[in-house]
Amino acid sequence: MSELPASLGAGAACPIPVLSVVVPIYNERDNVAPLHEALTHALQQLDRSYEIVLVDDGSRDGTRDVLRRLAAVDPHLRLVLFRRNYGQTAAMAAGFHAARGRTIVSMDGDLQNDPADIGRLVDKLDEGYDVVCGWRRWRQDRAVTRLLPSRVANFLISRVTGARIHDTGCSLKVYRSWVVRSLHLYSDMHRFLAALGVGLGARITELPVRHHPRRAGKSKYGLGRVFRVLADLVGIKMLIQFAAHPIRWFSLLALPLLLLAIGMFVLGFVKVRGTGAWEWFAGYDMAAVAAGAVAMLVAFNVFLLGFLAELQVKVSKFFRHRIAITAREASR
Amino acid sequence: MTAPLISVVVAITGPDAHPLPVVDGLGKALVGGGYRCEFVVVLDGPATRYERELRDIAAHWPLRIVQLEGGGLGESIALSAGVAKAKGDLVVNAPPYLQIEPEDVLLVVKALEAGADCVATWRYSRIDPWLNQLQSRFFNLCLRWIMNMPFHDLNSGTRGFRRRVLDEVSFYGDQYRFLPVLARRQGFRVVEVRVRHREEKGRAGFYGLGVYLRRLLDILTITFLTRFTQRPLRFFGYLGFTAIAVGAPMALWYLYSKFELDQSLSDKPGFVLGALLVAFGFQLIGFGLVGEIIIFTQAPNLRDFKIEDVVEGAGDADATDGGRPEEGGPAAVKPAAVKPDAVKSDAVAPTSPVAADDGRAANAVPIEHADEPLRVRELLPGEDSRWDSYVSRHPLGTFFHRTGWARTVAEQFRHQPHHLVVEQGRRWLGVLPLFLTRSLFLGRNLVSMPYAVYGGVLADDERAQQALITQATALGRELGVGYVELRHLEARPGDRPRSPLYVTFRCELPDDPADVMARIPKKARAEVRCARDPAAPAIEGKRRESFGIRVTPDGSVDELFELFAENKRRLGSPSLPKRWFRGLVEEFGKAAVVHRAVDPRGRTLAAVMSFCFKDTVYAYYSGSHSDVNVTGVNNWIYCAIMEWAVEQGYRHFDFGRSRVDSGPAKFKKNMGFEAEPLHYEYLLLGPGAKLPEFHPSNPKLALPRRLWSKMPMGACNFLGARLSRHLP
Repeated sequence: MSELPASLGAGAACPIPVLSVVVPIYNERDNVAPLHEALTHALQQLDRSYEIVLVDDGSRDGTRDVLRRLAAVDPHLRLVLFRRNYGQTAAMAAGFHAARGRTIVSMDGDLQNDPADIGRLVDKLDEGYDVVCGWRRWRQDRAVTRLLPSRVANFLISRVTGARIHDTGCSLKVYRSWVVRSLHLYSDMHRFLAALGVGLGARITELPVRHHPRRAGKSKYGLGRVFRVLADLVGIKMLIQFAAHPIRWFSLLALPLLLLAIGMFVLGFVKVRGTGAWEWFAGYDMAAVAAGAVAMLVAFNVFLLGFLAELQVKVSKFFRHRIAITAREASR
Repeated sequence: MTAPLISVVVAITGPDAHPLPVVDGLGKALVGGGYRCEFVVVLDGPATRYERELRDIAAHWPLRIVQLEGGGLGESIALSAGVAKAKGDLVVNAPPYLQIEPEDVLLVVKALEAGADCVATWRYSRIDPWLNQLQSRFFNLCLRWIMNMPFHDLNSGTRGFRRRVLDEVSFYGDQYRFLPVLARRQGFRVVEVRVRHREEKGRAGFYGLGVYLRRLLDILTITFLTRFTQRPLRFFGYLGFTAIAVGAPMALWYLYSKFELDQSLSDKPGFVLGALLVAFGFQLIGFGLVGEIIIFTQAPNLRDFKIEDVVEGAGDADATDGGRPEEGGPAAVKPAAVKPDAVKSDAVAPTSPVAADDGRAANAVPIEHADEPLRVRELLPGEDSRWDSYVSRHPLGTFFHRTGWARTVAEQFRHQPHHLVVEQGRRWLGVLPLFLTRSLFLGRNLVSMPYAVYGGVLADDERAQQALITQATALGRELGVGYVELRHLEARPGDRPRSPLYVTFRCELPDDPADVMARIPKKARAEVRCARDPAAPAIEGKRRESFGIRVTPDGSVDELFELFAENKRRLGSPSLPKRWFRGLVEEFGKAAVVHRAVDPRGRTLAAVMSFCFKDTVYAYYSGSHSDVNVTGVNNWIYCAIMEWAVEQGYRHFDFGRSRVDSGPAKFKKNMGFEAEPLHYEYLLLGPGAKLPEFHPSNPKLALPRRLWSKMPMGACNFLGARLSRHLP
């Protein structure tokens, strides 16, 4: 981006913010005004120009009117209004797209996160990091059934993705803009933003933050959810690492199967005597040989899928696009 | 406020239909309920047996008939076609016989008005044979179990929905009965309404095996596809994991029995099964991974949320009551009246009249910022939506001002964008999209907009415009350009060097598609008839080779490119590359439409790509076969596009730019259009800079053009793609 002459851009009343706060909102009619107040209060104490991007995800309880009323009197506020409910990730993606600042903060719209923590997170970012995640160290949740699976999940996620984050479920995070613009969010990916950041080469760290208990709502951790998180984890790990080559992952998947297949194949030629001795090539076990052969075929099949994946990566302009964005943003 | 218009779509796909009682019954019920209604009957097959009934209907009720070509296309297509022709915002789909008590249709409509996007009906007091009821119950039970959706009667032919549900939800084949399921999966609000069953037509007893299989496959497909597009690894991983978890113990048990218990495996099919399950499990996981990669790499293209509005905060930080809550074009003018394409245009058509209804905005006096300086800066990432909002609201905003055009240009030709915004405080007062183009033939220049016929400044007042132009000049000097080209459509205040080369042709469209023909001069009209009607008389002195040509809006980019490139080669000009057209369609989706003219043998004779924005259709890229001397196909295709535009609700048609007194200009005049001069302005900056003269009618280019027209097609395409970058 070419630089405009200094005289045109400077000024204390410059409307281009340095800090953007993105909050997805869904049916939070009573929480919006206190949220806005808390945010304004916290942000005004920082010494930077800021903007607040509130994304309304198709609320039908009157949230929208409250938002418009707030926007009418606060120049720091920007609203993105969806036509209907598209989900939290879409709302966050839209918010990131509309944000203009070089530093972007994401948080929950239901007052679980405390805006007062934003300052500390931003300062930590300036120490030389690209993503700073909030860590809800002193969780206020009651049920052990919620904490334990959550802890296990966090441990797994941090180990597997290398993000070393204790609390990936905390929405309060601060990013440099290039990290956010290089990512395209869909499905439930917003939980894995930190992990994806690792894939981009971002430096990630965390800071303890305050946490206010969720007012209502049932615990969302059940067995099915655990499985889903695990599946997502495997997917994310692969996606992060496939900047190298996706075929490596498919080799990883095919290898054990191949070994099993060879094992079964070989086993087909062994006959075990009652004394425990093994006799080789005395006869053959058709079943084992057949199973081994089929398993070997499938292993090759899986391996070849890897080529398909490589092709897809080549054909899509994904990496060229991403490199272009990263280069442009990093030089802002 | 006028009563809401309800469109009732009835698709006649089978032989046993009675549209008259349906229309009468529903019509009376709707009118009785205080609504206006219209009926759209879609005929999926020969229509002769219903002619009399339809004529009776047309005598009493507003009726439109859609005849599907060929027939046997199925109810999904019939439904889509019917909704496309419907004018109301709320649509009721009814079977071609009185399936439910007519008054109950009001329940459906009221549910829609109460905020639902889609309404499924649940028939009670079923009167069909018990066997059918049993099957129906079983079917719905399966559905609830597999899909986890609480619908009780998806086979009921009466449904209600808003139009935009059909815009966003895609279905085909037999999936029309799953419309409520698909809609709910995509986030729409779907409710179920109980209605009284009246009569049922259709086979009693068991259906053929094929029917059951098809239904099962549909269920599986829908369940599968929805989950697949979310996170494929979850779905496949789950299945794969289960397969391995089941197969591994089986195989291990038999292995154990082989080693410890000295039993051979040959007669143990369980072993093979277990081993196969394990292998299959790995395979499934592999598929899941491939799916993940596909979705991940396509994610940038999948952005599918639709933004209704982007609102900028306003007012002083300390003031308690303040100025206008919304960005706008001209200051005190009420935003342009409701646009008919608010549903059609992509993503950012703002519903500004809605905000005005709040009561505050319309009466608030804008805070005077007259003393604040104007500031011009470049557009920041993150402000695309705001830019598009501004262009939508500005009365002179054209399709080419959209950020989508800039994105496509930047991506395909790698020119550098320098979009300028002038603002006062936080309010935007004007925009100017610019591209730095580097061309071997034209040098370095700033162009607004390249590859487009319109562009230039959009501003609220002259002061803002001047600020933008001053900044553009400064930017141009800084970048060392020869000139800044502003391709203005209408005149802008001020005096700058102009180019008299080009004119454009626009017209206002009539309200009725039938009037389009009436406005075309007689000679062109005769050509249109010659191309369109099989029985029209041949034109005096011209050999007529083709007849019965149809024009449909379903052309493909490949067809268009083939014809377009061929035309360009004949004229001796390099053609734009195919990826440019593909990029446009990808970027603009439904706002870029390709019409094609097809002869009775199915061959595409001509194609035109048009863009739709606000209330205007811009017919832009076109090509036609040169080796077939078809009378009037070019006249006919544009006439058809205009009729299509009227049906879709557009009010203006833009025929495009041509050089003064060129062949195309004469063609457009013959079609009844008047030439309007364009106001292309140039800010000459470089030493010795002058107005560009690199255009085809320049005599210096005659030889290269002749050579070009002799080159083989492949070479032309290859070179054309390379050269396009240098011909903005």
